Amino acid sequence: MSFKVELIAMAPEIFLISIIQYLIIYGVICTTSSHLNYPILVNNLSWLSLQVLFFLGLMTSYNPLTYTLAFNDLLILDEFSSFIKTIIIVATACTILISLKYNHFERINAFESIILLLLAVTGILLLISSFNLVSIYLAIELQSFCLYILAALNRTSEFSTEAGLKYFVLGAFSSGLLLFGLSLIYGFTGILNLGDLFQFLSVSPYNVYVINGINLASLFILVGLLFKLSAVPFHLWAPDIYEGAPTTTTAFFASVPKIGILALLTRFAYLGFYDIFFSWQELFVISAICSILLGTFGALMQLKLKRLLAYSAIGHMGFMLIGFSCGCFEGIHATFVYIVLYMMMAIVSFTFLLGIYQKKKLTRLHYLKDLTILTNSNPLIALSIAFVFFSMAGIPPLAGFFSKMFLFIVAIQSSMYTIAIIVVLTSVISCFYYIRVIKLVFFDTSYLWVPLVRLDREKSIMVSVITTFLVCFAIYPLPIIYSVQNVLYFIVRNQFDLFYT
Amino acid sequence: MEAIFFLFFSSLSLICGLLVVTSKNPIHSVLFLVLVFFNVSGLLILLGVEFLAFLFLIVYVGAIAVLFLFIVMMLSIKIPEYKTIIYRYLPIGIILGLGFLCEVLLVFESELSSLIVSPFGNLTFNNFYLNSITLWDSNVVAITNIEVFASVLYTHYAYFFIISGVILLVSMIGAITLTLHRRIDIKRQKIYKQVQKDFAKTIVWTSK
Repeated sequence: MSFKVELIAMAPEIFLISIIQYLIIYGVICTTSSHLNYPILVNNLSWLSLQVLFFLGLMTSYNPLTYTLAFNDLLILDEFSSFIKTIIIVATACTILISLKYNHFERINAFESIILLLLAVTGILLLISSFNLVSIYLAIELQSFCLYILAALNRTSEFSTEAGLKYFVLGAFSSGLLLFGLSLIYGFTGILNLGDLFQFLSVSPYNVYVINGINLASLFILVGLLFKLSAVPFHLWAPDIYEGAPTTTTAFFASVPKIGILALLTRFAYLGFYDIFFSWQELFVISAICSILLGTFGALMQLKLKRLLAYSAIGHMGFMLIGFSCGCFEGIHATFVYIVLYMMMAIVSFTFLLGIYQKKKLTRLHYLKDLTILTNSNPLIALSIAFVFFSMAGIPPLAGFFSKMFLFIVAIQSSMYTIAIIVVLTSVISCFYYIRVIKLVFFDTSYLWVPLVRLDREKSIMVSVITTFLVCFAIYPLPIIYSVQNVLYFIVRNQFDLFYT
Repeated sequence: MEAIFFLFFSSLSLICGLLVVTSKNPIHSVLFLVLVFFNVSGLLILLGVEFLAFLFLIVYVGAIAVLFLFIVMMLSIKIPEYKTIIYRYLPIGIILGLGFLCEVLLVFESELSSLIVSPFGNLTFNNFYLNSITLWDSNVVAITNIEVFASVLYTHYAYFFIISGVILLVSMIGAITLTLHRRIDIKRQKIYKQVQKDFAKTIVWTSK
């Protein structure tokens, strides 16, 4: 393959990396110039990065190449990766949009936050199209370094520094485990390429020593990846970091990196290691059930909204892992439908956290009891909060119900009855704390009339669009389901391609 | 002889690694860390990867460990009393660690020897099979470690090189973001303005 084709295949990432250099130069020169009186560039760079993300989205979705390997088989471009990339770019644009005013209020003036966000997106995009163990590791490191720094961004706050340090230490540990697993695979097989690994495992499953070694290695890899997904028992960092990090960063944490890691896990579990999937299945199931239980019962006791959302994220990750553990095409299909809808709900719920300010004191929503001011002050926001949290709880006509229903159907189809029953019961319990939020908003109304800062245009458009989507999903759910079906089919087809060529 | 050296370096590095964690004085543990790096680079020389060995010495010992030592000496750290905490957590740590070690050892009965797998391994055309007369001395390639690195790192694996560069850029940005205080109220000397000043024109008399 000629080099030019590779450049076209990876054009979005190359574009992103090179534009980041220009943005850094622009930011450094402008913020330090005394002629311009040391301007604060966060807002400006946010809009610039939105433009960059717009072009990036165009380049990703209109790439003339649909299936190719690039740079000496280190990267892969297929329909799956370009679909996930498009979702990530859109979600990142949403998180930047909702963080515009927050940076202003909280005086986060470092323009590097936006640059680091873009660099993290670069890492995630490269992670999704990685096809080699070393490039996977490098991409994970790239994105997680950016996330460590983003978590510690608000350096005057002790919580933020603590969150950054905690995330860094635990994340470095999990990266070490991941790297150990990858090196064990190289040690046992001499293979770095995922496609080669698939071929190797499909033709020689009888060499017991090698298979044992690969099982051990995949255990390490799985621990590393489940840590990044904040699934139980590797979840301990999640609530503290959700709480401590600046809320814009938390919004990014909650929505974007997880789908990247999940896409990587799909490549591992359904391509590279598909032939030893049975040894992974138990781990997935155990981790999923523990995540759902802990996400449910941990969230019951929480008083702070961000911690509540963190525990709910752990619980949702458990649901996604249930779909993952089925080991069939329908399973990952349900998982990806779930994560797309979950990302929407996460983004809207963080929009509420970022956008609702009391006018006098400029205090945001911290505790659950702060929600009681909403019905009188802004009934429309209260209504959309109700819709989003009903959807998270999985109440029938809303989108969250369908994503959960697909998962239950898949779990029952692959005869995981006990798991399905446990999950349904815990899902009922988890309704309690979602509906408690709605009860606080509508029925515990305090008779204080607190004026709120008006929600700005970008946030209100986003809230209304996504809430309408969540409500109307029942009427016309097919676009998301079909597109996920289309792209995931390619993963399965890739297996056959690799096997028969 | 090689086995003796291997045992010497590896056992010493294990012991030093243990001492890094357990020694009370942080300066001692940094010095033990330096010793660990020395032993590991000895192991690497035994493996025949002398470039990595020197990289270990130059980067880790020369730069990082010395930096650690410098920082540790700058801070006034009181030597804490760990004993009670260690004895509280020691038993469960030993049980878990031993259990995991046994499991790993069960798997590692075989040696870590890579199986070279390529689906077309037997079909590849090789010059050796086609030419009956082979000029062996042209085929014996004596290239150094660093040449091997350079020949693949800048060609086949240039992607890794670039991404490592981006990661270093991230770390640089992060260090600047987290530590640099941009304050306007600090008065700085502008050296070029000072040099440019003509002392005859600095004091100006006006009529008012």
